[in-house]
Amino acid sequence: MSLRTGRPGQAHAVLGLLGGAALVFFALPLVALVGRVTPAGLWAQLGAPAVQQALRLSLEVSLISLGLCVVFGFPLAFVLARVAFPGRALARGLVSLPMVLPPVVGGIALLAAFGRRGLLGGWLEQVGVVLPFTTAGAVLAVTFVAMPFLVTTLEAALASVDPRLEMAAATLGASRWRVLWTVTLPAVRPSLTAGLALCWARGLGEFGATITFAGNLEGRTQTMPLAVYDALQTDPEAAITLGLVLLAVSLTLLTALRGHIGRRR
Amino acid sequence: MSLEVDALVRRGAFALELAFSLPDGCTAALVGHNGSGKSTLVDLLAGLVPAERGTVVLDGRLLERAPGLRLAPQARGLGVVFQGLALFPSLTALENVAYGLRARGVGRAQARAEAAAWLARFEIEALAERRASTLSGGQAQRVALARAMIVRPPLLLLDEPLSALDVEARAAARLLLRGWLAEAPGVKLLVTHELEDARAVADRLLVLERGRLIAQGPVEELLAAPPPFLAAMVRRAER
Amino acid sequence: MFRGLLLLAGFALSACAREGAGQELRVSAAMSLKEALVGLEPEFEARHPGVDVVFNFAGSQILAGQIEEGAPVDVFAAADEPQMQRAIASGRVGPARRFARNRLVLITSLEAAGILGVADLGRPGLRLVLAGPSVPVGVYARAALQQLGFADAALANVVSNEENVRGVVGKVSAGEADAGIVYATDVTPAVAGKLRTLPLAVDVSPVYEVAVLKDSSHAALAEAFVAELQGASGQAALAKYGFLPP
Repeated sequence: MSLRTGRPGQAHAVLGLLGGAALVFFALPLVALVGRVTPAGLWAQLGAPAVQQALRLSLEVSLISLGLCVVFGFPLAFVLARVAFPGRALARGLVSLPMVLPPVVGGIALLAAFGRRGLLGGWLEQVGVVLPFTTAGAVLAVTFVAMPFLVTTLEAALASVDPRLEMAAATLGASRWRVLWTVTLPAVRPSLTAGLALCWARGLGEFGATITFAGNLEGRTQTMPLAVYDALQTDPEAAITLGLVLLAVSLTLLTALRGHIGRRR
Repeated sequence: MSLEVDALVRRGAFALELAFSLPDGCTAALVGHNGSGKSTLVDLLAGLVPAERGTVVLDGRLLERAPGLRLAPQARGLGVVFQGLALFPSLTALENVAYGLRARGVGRAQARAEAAAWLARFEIEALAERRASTLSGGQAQRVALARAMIVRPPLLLLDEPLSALDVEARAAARLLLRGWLAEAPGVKLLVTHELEDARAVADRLLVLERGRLIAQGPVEELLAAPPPFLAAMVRRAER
Repeated sequence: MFRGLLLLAGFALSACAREGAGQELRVSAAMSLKEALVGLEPEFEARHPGVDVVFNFAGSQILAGQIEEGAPVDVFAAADEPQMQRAIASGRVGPARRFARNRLVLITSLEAAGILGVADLGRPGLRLVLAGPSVPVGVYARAALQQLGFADAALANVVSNEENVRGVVGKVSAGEADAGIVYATDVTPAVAGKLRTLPLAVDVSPVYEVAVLKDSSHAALAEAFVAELQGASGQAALAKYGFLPP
């Protein structure tokens, strides 16, 4: 058996080396970024009204989008996991599409659907609903690219809930809604948390679809990623600082939630 | 008579066809090999699988008349202890037991109080705040039983309730189970493949083989003069 | 499997090495120069065999930023002085030379029939798209609006700040925006039928400058390119695409 040949721990050494290299790969750009910024510079940027506006807009847009993702994404995940309807495989593919589509293409697709000359856009405009170039449009763009992350995570979890748990609850007299709330949801909590974290982080960092569909205007559609890109064109140092702020927010989010996810029941 | 069943159930290629009735207060044991249709019968009674033809009547109430009428599981008011127990893992033992009461609209405080009383009755009150996923097999069994019995169901179904226990614990558990079931109102149906469980706990015996009832009657009578199939089972059990 | 990986790596490396076989001249140029320079390319390459001109088109402000960060470029052509000055301030760029001028025009979408001039840009609910305030054409557009006295009214209607002039053209020709201000040269045959063009009577003169990077590894070739731009054939090409002489 080859387990006995070779130096003991050689496999571990190789794995450790490669894994360590990967970690350095991730850490280096971030460390380099931090190195370019001074605390005074960071503080000054954070105080700038344009930055605060972008931050507030980013939080507003990403949180509203997260809400929409949950309200529409959970039922979608439920149906995909539990209901065998014709074309389900295609539906699954459609839902995953925004994850592999370049975000700009997503933005173009949204324009084709909701733009002024789009499929629904003309009709929407007649009833007074305009989506491109508005904050609502930014929310739509973010939701489009981020929801699939929540749906796919949830779908897998919902499909693997022990059906006997739900049966037990039913025989005890629980209505469908009560079963959903007291048995199904708690059973998928880790996946729900993971899905929410991914969904929000993706939404916070969304750029391509937003700038293509919603445009770029301070206070209305210029979320943090767009503000960073804007700053890059005139003041790279400011761009770095802004980027760092966004990074810090995302990192805090993900770390806090990943801690939750890792916990096994 | 409290439970009357006369039905045909199909599950893929398998067909379960039987007719029997059980009086109020009786504890019956349903024995049979694996694959004889025991779980199908439990699912039929619980409302989890529909009958192709026939009726299920409990306490004079029509639970099912195929193919038109079929009450949903939550409307039947039964108590079920599933094989594998199916305790809600994220809830505590107390919350598990209180679940059926809460589902029926009982207030939180009252439900918790009643559940605590039942836990005490099963001598596991110390486990009240423990998460169900951390309980041992025997502890979980008692919680599952309490959860099903607390709602005082007219029909209590127990699907292999002692299967999680090892041989030694099983003997003691049989006696305890007999005591608890004797106190419970309504019809009690215990499903098992172990004849000893039937002998120790039940007063009526139903024998299922390949989807048909091949024998039914009082436990002592049947075991004293068993028909051929049952005799083989008895011999095997005594070995 | 390990051998397969080695082969793959070898291929990749050799592909990179193959790049240096011919000479490559890297030109960063303002987006508005796209058609003209691409039209100019074959002639230049014919005159300098073995040379491949590689263009990098973007808003001049982006290109200046790239040069500040050390991008390996041989020639920089900007659509206004401020961005050229920014590049020069990095210390990497030689003296700048003017080689063309342009005009501004007002474009409107086909549906926005009611817009007859700059005065209409202040109409409530109108969707105006401009290039961003640091993009040359964005600077010129704002200066033009200021000059004509409609800056406040029009700027209130800006719904997006695009990063280059083609972004503005795109939004207007797609009908998403009602109007925009771009260069006359941006109304190419490809888009002319998709929008309406109105002249802007302003005294704002977009000026194009070109310079060679001091650390270019093809200094002579770069100078030749600049000479081409300023010479007869270059000027003819630029004129063909609607540019004005410097």
